[in-house]
Amino acid sequence: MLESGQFLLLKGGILSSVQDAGRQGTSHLGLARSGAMDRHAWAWNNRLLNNPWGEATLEIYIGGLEGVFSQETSVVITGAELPIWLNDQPQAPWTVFRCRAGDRLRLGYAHAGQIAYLGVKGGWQLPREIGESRSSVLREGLGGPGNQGQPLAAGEQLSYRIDASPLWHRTLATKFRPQYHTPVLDLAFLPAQYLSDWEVQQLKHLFATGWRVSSASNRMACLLEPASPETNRSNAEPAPTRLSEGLALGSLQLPPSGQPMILMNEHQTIGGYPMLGWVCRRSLDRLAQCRPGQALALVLADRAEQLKAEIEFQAFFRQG
Amino acid sequence: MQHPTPPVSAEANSPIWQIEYAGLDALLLRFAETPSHLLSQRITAASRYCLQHPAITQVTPAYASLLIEFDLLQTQAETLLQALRPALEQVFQAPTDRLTQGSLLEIPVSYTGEDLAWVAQACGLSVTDVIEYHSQTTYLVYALGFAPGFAYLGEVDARLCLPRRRHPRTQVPAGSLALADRQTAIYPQTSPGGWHLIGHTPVKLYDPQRQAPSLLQPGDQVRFHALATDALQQACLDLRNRYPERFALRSTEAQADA
Repeated sequence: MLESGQFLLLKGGILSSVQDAGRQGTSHLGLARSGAMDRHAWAWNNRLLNNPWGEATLEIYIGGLEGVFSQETSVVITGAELPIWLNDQPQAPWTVFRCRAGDRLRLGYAHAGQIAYLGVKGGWQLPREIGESRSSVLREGLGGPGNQGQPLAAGEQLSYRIDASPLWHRTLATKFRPQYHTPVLDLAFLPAQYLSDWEVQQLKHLFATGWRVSSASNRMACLLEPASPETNRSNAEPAPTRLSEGLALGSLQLPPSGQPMILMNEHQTIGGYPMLGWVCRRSLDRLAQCRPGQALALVLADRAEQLKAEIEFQAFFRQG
Repeated sequence: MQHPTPPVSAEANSPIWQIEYAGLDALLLRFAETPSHLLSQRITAASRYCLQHPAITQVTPAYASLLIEFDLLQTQAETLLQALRPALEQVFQAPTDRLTQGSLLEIPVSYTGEDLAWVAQACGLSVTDVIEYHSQTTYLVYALGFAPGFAYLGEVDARLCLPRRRHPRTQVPAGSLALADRQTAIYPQTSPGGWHLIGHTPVKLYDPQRQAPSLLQPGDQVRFHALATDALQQACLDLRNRYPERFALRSTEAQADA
């Protein structure tokens, strides 16, 4: 058994949790899949540290997290662009750096993107819980340190393995770092196969409308609102009801409010709102980084092309 | 609008089901039959079978559908479907008596819900009739969802069929026994809800500290045992003793182990 160090949190930040690749085999029990919202920044975080796919990182919304390392290790911060200080020395994002016993890490607030991942060499040492995962889900009261699903808070300690091996100055080439400033983000969308006439009408409206991310979005769903208020269709004729069905990640549902919602990692497992299709996985990774107000457009995706991109992404990080 | 998504395959659909892609790594099977006890038993059997498949990551059974999610590095939709097809067809053609019956749990309740009198009036029945019709049915867990531990139970006696409330409550207390349409359920946590409240139970439908946080699982059978409020605690202990594995807490050893 290797000796372990502790990362003592002085500040939990706006909303921080432990996230890995998410759960398996829990949906029939009504439990969310959870897991890292932006797999791109999360997977690169583990890769830069030479951790295998699936290790847990801290998922930090907006920033504000602060803590002290009890023992030596290497860490990396990927995702949202935010200031990073180690004992008041600025550090580069997407770049591995060394923390020694007593070093204090402090994160500022994101100016682009909204989720940062803090990874440590060897991964954060938490027990795997339901679904063989370390991911936490607030509404279920499961996961995270203490397995209560609560957001990370000051005073909590997170374990890691001590790593004093020579530091590998690893940094991600700029061309692989996402550009979070985008005037309009295109979302690759696959329409459902069997749609009613009413649903086809709604789909046409969906494509013809400019959307933006609503401030009510969270880890359950990304809510869309029309970019210009006059296109709100909340008074349109009500949807025909349908039997509740299992929901896949990225499902686009249309509740009676007329505001589409795209289901994210902590989504409910079944639902009965009209379901028009799915946003592809690589688009969801990018959508996770969008702040309220970000302009979005749904774009018809080519299934084969999206499948190829997704398989390439997973093969690179899981087998590479 | 021209449809950009090709169908799964010409042969994929059958008289038993209709299949479509649900995104890149999922298939949605919709069954031709209308929801029933028997269909639900078949869907439960099918989802149990699917969970054993090494490439399948999640299954979500519902009233008349089954969502299957899989690992794209292990299989593709078409290959997976080929592999599952014979077993699934067998499940859907199996004689009724060959299907596994789930456990029967008897949940103690006091029929003292806020809406009980209103429900009786709306159905043109006495309160005693409502309690009798509701508690004499053996229900089946059709699906879990909406909130952690929320089990959709069916089918409620046709004489108790009411549409849900026009204005949902913003706070339904945890443990509330409720009904709407031909369904009944217990709210596991305090949450918003649009169903009619007819009773209450102290049994915890969801407890994250248990090995299996959700008390009920798809395919389980449920009966409600009408009791006076002061008899509920003892009945809860009896239920716990009869199903110790359902109430077992997570061990701290397992946590230290990791």
